Amino acid sequence: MSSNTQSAAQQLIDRFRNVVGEDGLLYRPEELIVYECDGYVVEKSVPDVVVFPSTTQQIVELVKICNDLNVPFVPRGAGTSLAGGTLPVGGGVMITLTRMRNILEINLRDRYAIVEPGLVNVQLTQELKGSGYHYAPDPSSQGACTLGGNVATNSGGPHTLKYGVTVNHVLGVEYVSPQGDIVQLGGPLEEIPGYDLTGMFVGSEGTFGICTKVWVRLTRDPAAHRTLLGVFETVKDATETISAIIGAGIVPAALEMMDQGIIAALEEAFHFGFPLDAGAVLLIETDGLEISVEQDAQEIERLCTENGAREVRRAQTEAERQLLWKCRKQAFGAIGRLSPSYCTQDGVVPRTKLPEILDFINEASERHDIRVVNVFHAGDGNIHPILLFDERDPEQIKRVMAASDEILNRCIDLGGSVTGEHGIGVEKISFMSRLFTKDDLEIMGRIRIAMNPTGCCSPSKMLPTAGACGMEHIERSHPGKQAHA
Amino acid sequence: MSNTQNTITEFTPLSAQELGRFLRDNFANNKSNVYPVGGRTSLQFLGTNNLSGTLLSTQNIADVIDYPARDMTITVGAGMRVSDLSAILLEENQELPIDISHNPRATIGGGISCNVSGPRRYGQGTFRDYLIGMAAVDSEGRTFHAGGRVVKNVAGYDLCKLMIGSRGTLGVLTEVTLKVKPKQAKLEAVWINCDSFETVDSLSEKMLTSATRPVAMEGFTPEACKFVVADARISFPTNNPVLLVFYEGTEKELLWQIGTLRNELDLPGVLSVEEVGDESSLLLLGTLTEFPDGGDVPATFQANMRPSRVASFLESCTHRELSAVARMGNGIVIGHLPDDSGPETQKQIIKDLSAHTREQGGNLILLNAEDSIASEVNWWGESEPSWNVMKKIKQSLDPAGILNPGAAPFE
Repeated sequence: MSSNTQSAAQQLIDRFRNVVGEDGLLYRPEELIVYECDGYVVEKSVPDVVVFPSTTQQIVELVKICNDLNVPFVPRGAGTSLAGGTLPVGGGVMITLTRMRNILEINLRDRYAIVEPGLVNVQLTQELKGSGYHYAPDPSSQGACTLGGNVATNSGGPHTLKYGVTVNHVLGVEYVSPQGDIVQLGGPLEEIPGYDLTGMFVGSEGTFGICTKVWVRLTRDPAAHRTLLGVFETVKDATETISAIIGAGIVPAALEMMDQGIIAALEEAFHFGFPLDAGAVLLIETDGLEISVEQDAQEIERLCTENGAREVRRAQTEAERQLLWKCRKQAFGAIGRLSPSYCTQDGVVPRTKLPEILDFINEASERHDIRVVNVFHAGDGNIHPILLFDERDPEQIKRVMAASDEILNRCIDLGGSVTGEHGIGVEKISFMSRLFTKDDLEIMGRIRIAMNPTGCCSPSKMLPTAGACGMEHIERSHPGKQAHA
Repeated sequence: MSNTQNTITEFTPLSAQELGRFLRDNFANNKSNVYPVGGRTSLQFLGTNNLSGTLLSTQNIADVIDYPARDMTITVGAGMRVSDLSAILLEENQELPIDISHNPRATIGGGISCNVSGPRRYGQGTFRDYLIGMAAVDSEGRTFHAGGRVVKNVAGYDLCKLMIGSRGTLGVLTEVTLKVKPKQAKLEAVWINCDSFETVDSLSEKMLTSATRPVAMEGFTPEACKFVVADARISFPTNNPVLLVFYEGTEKELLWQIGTLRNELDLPGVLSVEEVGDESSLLLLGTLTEFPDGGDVPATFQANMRPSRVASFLESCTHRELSAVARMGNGIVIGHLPDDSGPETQKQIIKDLSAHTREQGGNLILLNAEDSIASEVNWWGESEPSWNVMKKIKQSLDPAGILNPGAAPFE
């Protein structure tokens, strides 16, 4: 590191120390390495400093310092992004929101809550237990991911099939702009005059500023559930059942699929009692009035059987229901038994194209000699092929990247998208020009410039443009550890 | 549209490509103002009284582009009439469950651009929940897209949300992709006559934990009540505050829900509970959907506030003898000024109601106003800090400011 860079880094640290104190900073190499990547382990880049603000005003001051010293910055929640959304490309400052985790208000009468961005997703629903309400978006990582991160990526989860994604449950956000202003978009009201900037902000992956507060809509707890596990000999039978259920006009609350590979890992890890010889299982939940759910459940059972289900199990108690959901939501946690590393994709296809894409995933797996297991939101057509590999082997990484690219390209060919809920991050930037025209990207670029004029906030994310804010210099002096593609 | 002294021409392209060419040539040559229109049901939203430029109609851009019914999505030209869209979806027993006024004439693109919604927004949501992809043409004639044709998609910035309610000030919608739902079998309403707005408020709160799941909850002032029963040709008491609760579903579900509601409503302050019947319920829904179109009233407002504030606002409207309907669970009140009031009274009412909503942390906008007061009242209410951000977005997408100028709150 040059002496100029050292002195600039020291200046940064000294000024940050004045804002957040010594215990609000990490800057030693052995401390920073923890933050070199998020859930997307294929690419790594160590930040220069990690700061932990506790208040919005601290964030304002931190951002202004960054602007003053021409240093890029990136917000981070729990680091559960699976697309490198919090990767500090070229170094810079990582502003971690995990110390801002309060629930500021719960208003059941007006059906909203106000939360800080570092609040863990599931904690809001836990706080609401017994009130008759919950917070609907339930990503599988909800035991760790933060609401600010959910806003950044417009997170989904199993129950988005019926309840929608994060943006359908966000009424307003407060954020610190890349220039250091505090801006409120929306609030507790359903409608405000003018443009739906809240809707635009959700899913902007931290490129418009740092979220400091969220007004979320609260959702009535359903009166009743029926939770079923359909066991199928083949993936094909399971995917055809999905089409049949949706085609019958039934919209379950959730419709998830797991294949044999992931079932085996789950059984080994958690002993849920899944049949190890099943080709695939469908976890299907209907919810609503007691008078309706039983009828829907019976129809679903019939459709499963009609389409080749070996058996259809039902959760008989709430405890059994919770166990089934635990197994689904902990699926990723079981992957460590299968391989040291994994890379999961987040493609989306029209539901009726699921059989095609799953066949293609199998072919790609064989072609590149990379094992793939599948656990995904079948009802939405949102696939999560999990490519298993060892990141210490550069050859495997190459094959994983190649297989991933093929799968995502095929999703586009089938009329879908490359990301249903994880975001573009850094991982999928190269696909943006396949999904969008030059004019589309130019217009998105204009909006980004309007919101983030210098490009210093979350550079090199989402849009296929160069980083700004002197990024080129910083990139050369802090080359990140990257997968050799 | 009221000023006939300025030059306004009309152009109705035959295709999205022709629309794009028109805008490109316009930008390259004159940079004249362009006012996108669909069914011409919301011409009052055209930015200023001094219209000069071109009314650009999308009525020929109205084809079904893609309808994979089993995927429960549909892609259509933005100029498609809502009634045509509804008919196409009904063939597959599906619907877009958004109550859009002026149904025979309104276009889907216009509905999105004006963010139209109706009573069922409480249980079914708004365009924010259904628009998943779009194509639009900007002021320079470039086509841009956002979203796609799959129900989950977070690639790129969500410009779909930006276009909803933008009133044609950011681009001209040419194609929209929508999520659709299975059509519910039946709709029924329950008319609850109350002794006071306090009771209406208590009931609205009670409904939040009801064992039933209403799809709409509407409150009325007595003036609105009289209009609604007359228009829907039903016979119910109109002298007291009313809470009207709608349910959707199968016959069995409706029977259970209405029976359960009756049991839950055994409360002081409830004067009577009447089932409306399915045919009349549909008529009522239609009347309430069309309510914002006040016809010849001097002005129509929409007050947005927290749901807990709505009942007292309705009471305030009642004291002023206003005809007002509230989406009780959404915090939205739509009201008409009385047509026997003079301009000064009208302006004062608007001022007072704006102040009232502001005190309650809400906002009040005008949906329509007669010429006699249109230029003298604040259509958008007090300035919001976020308008600066909106302005930047407008400038980035329409730098010459030619798309429906004057129609955005910050202009």
